[in-house]
Amino acid sequence: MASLLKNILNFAERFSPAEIAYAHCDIPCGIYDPHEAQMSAHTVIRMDELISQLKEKESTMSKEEYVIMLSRYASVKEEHAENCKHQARILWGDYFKPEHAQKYPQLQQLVWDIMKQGSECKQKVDVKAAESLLESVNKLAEIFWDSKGIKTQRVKVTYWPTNREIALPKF
Amino acid sequence: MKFPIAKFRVSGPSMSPTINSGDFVVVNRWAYLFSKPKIGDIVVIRHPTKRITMVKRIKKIKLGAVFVVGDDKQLSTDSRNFGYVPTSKIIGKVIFRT
Repeated sequence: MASLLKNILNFAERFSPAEIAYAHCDIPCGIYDPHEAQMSAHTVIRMDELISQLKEKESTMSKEEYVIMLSRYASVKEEHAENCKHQARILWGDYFKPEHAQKYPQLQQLVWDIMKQGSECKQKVDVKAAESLLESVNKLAEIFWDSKGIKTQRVKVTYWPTNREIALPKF
Repeated sequence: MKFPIAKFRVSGPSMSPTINSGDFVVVNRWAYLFSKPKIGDIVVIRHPTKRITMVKRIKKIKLGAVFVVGDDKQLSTDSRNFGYVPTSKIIGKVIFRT
């Protein structure tokens, strides 16, 4: 009976196409991952370190060379601090649902912290501020993976020059 | 008054496993003329702000509005994001799916 009706509906489709009823209202890709935010937080730390090292080399460089390198580091730092905020907004607004906010009451404060720490990292050259941003982003990643029932572990990323921790899923 | 029966083709996975992308749903447009929406009903509704039509399940009801969610909560964007939807936005109740 069901297949007969389906055949009738398919046949009718030739003459009068059915309106689409979406079972989503955005692209339902379901692809969310905090890793991009974590990479960006590490990048901010690295840019702070490179800017500090550049100050020591200033006397050995031409003024133009110094300005260009400083501008490049500052630009990348700005971009990646903003990306941390952007990724946290996506997770908060698109992925996390009210039931997550109930289960993880610290979530809202954590997202606010990332917003403020991201802005602070743009304003300053301060490794400590960047480390605070990374810590918050790692905590957000731990909540994200826990919401999917996946355990995490903190790993020191020795293959990145920042040589600091990242919260990774244990598959 | 519109014809009581309408057909829709479903696009997207948020109602799976109940309704899969590509399925047809047949809707009774007159279902709520003489009775009220019930929790658990699958309905075709108009999005509260966008010009699109969606298929969702009623989870909660309050005066004049329904809270709708997808059966696959991980993939669904629904009232958890856009809030209660006025009952005037309900096109009809799904009476058959195939």
